[in-house]
Amino acid sequence: MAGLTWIISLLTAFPFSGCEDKADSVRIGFFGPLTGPTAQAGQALRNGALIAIDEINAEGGLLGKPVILIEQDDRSSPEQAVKSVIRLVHLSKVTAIVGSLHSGNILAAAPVIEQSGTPMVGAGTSPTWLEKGYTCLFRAVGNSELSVSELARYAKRAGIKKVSVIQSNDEYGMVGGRLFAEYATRAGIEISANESFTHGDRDFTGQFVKMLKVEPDAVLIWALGDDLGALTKQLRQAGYDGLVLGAEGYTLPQVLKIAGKAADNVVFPAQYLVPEQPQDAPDPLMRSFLTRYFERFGEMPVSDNAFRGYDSVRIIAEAIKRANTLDREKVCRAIGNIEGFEGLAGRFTFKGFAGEGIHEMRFFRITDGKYVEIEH
Amino acid sequence: MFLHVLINGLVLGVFYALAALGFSLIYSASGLMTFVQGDFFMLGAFIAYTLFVILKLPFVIAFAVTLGLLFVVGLLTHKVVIGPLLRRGSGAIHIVLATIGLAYFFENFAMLAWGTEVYNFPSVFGDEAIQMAGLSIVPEKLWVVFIAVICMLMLHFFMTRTKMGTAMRAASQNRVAAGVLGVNVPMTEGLTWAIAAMIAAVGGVLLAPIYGVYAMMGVRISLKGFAAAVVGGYGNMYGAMAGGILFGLLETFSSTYISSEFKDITTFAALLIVLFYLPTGIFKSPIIEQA
Amino acid sequence: MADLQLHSGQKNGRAGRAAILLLVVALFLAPVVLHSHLYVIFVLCTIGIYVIVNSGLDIVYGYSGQISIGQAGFYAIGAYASALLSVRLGVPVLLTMIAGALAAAVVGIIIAAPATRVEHHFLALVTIGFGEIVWLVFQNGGAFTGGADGVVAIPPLKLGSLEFSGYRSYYYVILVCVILALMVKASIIDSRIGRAFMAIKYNPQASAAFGVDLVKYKVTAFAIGAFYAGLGGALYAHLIWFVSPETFTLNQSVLFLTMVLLGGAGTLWGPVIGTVLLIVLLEVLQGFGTYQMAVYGVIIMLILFFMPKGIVGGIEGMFRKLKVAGPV
Repeated sequence: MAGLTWIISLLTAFPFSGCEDKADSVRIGFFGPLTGPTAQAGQALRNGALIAIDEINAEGGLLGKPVILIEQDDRSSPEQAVKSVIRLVHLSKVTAIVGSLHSGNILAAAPVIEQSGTPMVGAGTSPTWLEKGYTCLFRAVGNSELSVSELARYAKRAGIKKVSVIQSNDEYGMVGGRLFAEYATRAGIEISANESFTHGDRDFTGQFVKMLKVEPDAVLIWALGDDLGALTKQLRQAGYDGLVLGAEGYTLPQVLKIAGKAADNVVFPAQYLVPEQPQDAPDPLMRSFLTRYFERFGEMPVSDNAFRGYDSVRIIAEAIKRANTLDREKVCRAIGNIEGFEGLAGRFTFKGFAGEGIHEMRFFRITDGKYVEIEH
Repeated sequence: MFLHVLINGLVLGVFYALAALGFSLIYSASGLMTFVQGDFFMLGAFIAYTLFVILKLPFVIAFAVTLGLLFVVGLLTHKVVIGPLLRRGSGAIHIVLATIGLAYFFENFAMLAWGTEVYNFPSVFGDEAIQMAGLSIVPEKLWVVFIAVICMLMLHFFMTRTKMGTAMRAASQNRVAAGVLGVNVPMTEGLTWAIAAMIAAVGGVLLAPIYGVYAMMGVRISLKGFAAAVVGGYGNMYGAMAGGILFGLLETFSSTYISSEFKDITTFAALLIVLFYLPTGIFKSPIIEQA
Repeated sequence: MADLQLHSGQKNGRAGRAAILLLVVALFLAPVVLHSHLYVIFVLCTIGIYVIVNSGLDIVYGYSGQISIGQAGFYAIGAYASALLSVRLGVPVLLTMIAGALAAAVVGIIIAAPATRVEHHFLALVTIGFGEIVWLVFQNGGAFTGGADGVVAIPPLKLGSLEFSGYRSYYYVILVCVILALMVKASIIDSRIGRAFMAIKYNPQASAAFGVDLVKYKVTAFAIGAFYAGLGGALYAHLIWFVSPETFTLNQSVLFLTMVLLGGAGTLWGPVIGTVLLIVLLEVLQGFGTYQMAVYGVIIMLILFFMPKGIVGGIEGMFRKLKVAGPV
């Protein structure tokens, strides 16, 4: 009996988050993987959003009111994503949402978001969730179709004729791999091998044997940051010295640390880099973001999702300022009208596009353990 | 190429064998299934990382201290969680649930304590391929197999040649009789959990340079290790080792010669087929009824 | 053996039946009373789906004693079958739901064949292997299953001119299914089949000696459990309007089993209580931010510590103690 009472009191001691009556604040919702295998990215996304909110509040808030972030962990589960979004929209009554990374979660939550007219700025790179005709979803980063089409163009210009591909067999990897194959084939490049692996797996013997047997000119590795280090290292150990075309996860310093020398001769598209120290950042916006991030969290971002979170909130804030209201539909339309807005990812133009804001990529090559920006 | 696949299969197999050993030991000592072995792997890797990379202690010391700490963690797990639950009347399946809860706790604790990213554990034995007898071999992989085999041999000697090991085997065969003969049965159970955690730590430290160190690193190893232990003959130490190595070879060979996409389907399907024809696993193992 | 009490509504007599009736009425009125609380209605919908799936799992584990950590595989089959039939072939949703549940049951019968030959951890592994294979098939199924992208734009249930595209209306569909599922389970428990299950669970050898056809009953249990899971999966598909492989992993099977064990396996209300408790807990835990899953793990261990045989077992234990203590 005592045990049961103890447990019940423990549970009721903590109120439902978001139930607080903060009538006089601007509420921005957040859902993403705060725990689980992609917590690294999800927490970084949230942290970036918090930095943007800190900045805004330091300047007096939005429309004279303080901004708060209402967080929900979607636990990488589509079902939980829907629950979280319903809670944000109907219970916490948020004005806008900073969205998840997983396209599956965004797709699951999209009907609820659309029906309520709440604008969502998401961080997932899969093109699929902006291809379904939703009017209130936006993206804070370049999508993977943009990345791989640019990679295919780069490969063509570099005279590459055969590419062996390895991708993770989740949504991210499969979409990227498939789109690259489409663009490459159209450009006259042969996909000499197409292998996949399960995220988290660390033995790629079979895949590399088959990929290297056909003597490709280049290898495409399309996977998330935490797999890239092991993949690159083992690829080199398997005897491949040539060019590697990579995903934007190569921007993570941890990948460089794990792969070491193996990461040399990797070329990849990205909007931005994660430097070792704030002072290393080339542009002032990035430098001030990183300085603030380091101050608050005691470390540099461990995932480029931090930048996406920061940009998402600033886009929402800009729209609220322009629309001069917290009405969801008006804010949604205001985001859709944004042109040339400076963010960490570059210049955002949503006007005339169905939710995509970034239309250009930068290219980097890893040489001697350092990132060098290159022409493409 | 065949040799290349074989070596990688052995390395993988040795990890699965280390994972499988832990499951088998615990089952043979107490008839319990556990879901927390993978997390002992992970904790071993993280503690070794802290000692070797952050505190810059010599590798041998870091290794030894890690083993010692995980020994204590295993002992405490039995003393604080498993033992009390058993005494309060939990059945085997409730212990499984408790280890699931413990696994959630350890994984998230690691994320909170160390962080969410993948940490780099520098290779101790050299991760650049060298030419040996006309083949390109990574020294680290050979060392991993070597050390793992030594550990398994040491475990074998401990179990068969020492008084404590013999007492543990006696208790696992017949708790009542062993107790009557003066064996402290609860202590041997606790010791089993401690040794299982220690074995997992060995695996974790050896795995770290190849996998990277991160909170979820133990999850898939745990599953494959459990599968290897069961297929090998759950509760049979040698079956676990054989099962693990078999699993590793099966995975790498099917990935190379059949299809890498479906390699997991192939391995699990093979597993089901084996169990269909050999319902108690490949080697003989005791089935311990839980009250 | 006190656990051999058959836990059906009738056991507790008139007071019990009145309480259940009150509960049912309250549940029917919920969407009206809580009209603006869409969040609560949605959570209740997910609770309903899980209650169905978990009741099925309980028949397999709690009643016939076969440990199954692969319930998510049957859940997936029901969800995907219903989704694919309605999206690709335009089959009416009511039929696709039934088809999904039946498909899951058929697969349940197939998988029961190797499953009945093994026991304990071997069976656990077989069910885990089954669950993994199902997930991998859907993940790698290419354009047919939608692969990693999943299946989108799944239509809602339509009965005649009624379209259940809102959570408030769909809630009633789920509620009716839950009531039916529990009633069927209660009658199975009280029937000859149910008693055969329990006999097999407690003493397989003696049951066989008494002429109980072990294989037939074990397969039946699996089929029923799979049917329930398939139905739950189909209901899920038409609630979220989207299915993808990541929903149907080992974690999901573990979650189902956790709910059944915490609530109390082998009882009618155990899975219900376990489901409600865990789903509510997981929502409350959102307030803990990045600590939530660590706290979750600790709470599971705490609950087991205070109620080692699950909550229903724990409450019954308390009643027994009170009865024994009794009025002086």
